Amino acid sequence: MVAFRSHLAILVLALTATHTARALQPAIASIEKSKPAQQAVAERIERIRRDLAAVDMPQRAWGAWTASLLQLPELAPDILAALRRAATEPHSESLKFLLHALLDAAIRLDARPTSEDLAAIERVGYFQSQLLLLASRVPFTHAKYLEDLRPMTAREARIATDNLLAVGAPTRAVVLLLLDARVHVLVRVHDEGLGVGGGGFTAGVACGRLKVPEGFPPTVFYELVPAPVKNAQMLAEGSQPIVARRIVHLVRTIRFSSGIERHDASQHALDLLRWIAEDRAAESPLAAEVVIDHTWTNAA
Amino acid sequence: MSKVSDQIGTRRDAWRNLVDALVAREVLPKERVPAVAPIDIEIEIDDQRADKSIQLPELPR
Repeated sequence: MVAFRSHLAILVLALTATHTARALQPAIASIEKSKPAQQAVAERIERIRRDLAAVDMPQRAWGAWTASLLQLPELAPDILAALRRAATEPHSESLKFLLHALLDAAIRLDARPTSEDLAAIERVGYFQSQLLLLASRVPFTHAKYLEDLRPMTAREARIATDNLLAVGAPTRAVVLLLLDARVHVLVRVHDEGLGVGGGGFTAGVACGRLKVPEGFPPTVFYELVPAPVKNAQMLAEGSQPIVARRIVHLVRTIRFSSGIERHDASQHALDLLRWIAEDRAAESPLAAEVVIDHTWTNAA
Repeated sequence: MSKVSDQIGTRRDAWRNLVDALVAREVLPKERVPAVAPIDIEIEIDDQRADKSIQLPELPR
């Protein structure tokens, strides 16, 4: 009887297993089918990992470019390791292009470098846009780094830095902005019937070109511009929001030319102080430059 | 010139309100409020009159 029961149990188990197996067949087939694809991805990740750890700088840059292109977030720690390694290497043109590739991958794969990592990269070359983008993910954590970076920034980078400080460390931002906030009142007194001279406008143009060393992937720059701009990612909200535009250069000689408009640090400070104080009024009597025209009559 | 003084006063009031709002939001400690009454306003007078024999009145600093 006991033997009969255990045979029955085995039979039930076998039938159940067969039934389950039949029910699962399509899923199993799908897993089996995707095995080569998964294996291919795993092999590709391993290959990129080897590229990122290579001695050859172009090979490392291609590793970063591919990781960024294929959107492989599992490679973010490898990108960070490659960034740390690059930051300790002797300065060279190749190193700068390697860093362009690594920073682009770090941004797109949401790698989270420490403030020390950001400071080390900044010592290698001018990568303020990328470093600000990376710092913008956790402005509170990077507040001290942002404050140290601030004196070295200008125009959009300064606005972005201050916007991030206003969010990450508003008390420090207020102290720094107060130092910049000035109201200059110009009283122009002129005789009746006479016009007054207008204000001036200053602007400039920066231009140059960069030659990409042999063997490197396309070069990716990030340009900071005031919002709103299409196809750009928000970097720092504030009284003047700043966005970052990703620009891919496929050519070996990169020519650039950009207009430099006058940046009024005082007006920026006043606007951002109002933003921190949650004063969202479109107009304010507070302006860095106040011109009061006064027509003189002897009875004035 | 009293109208000019009024306009400067408006700016000064706006600044004072801003500083008060920052203190109220606890992003500016009271001891760090700018001491200069409370705004650092630079006033520049560009006297374009042909006849400057009559002196312009003093403006509030």
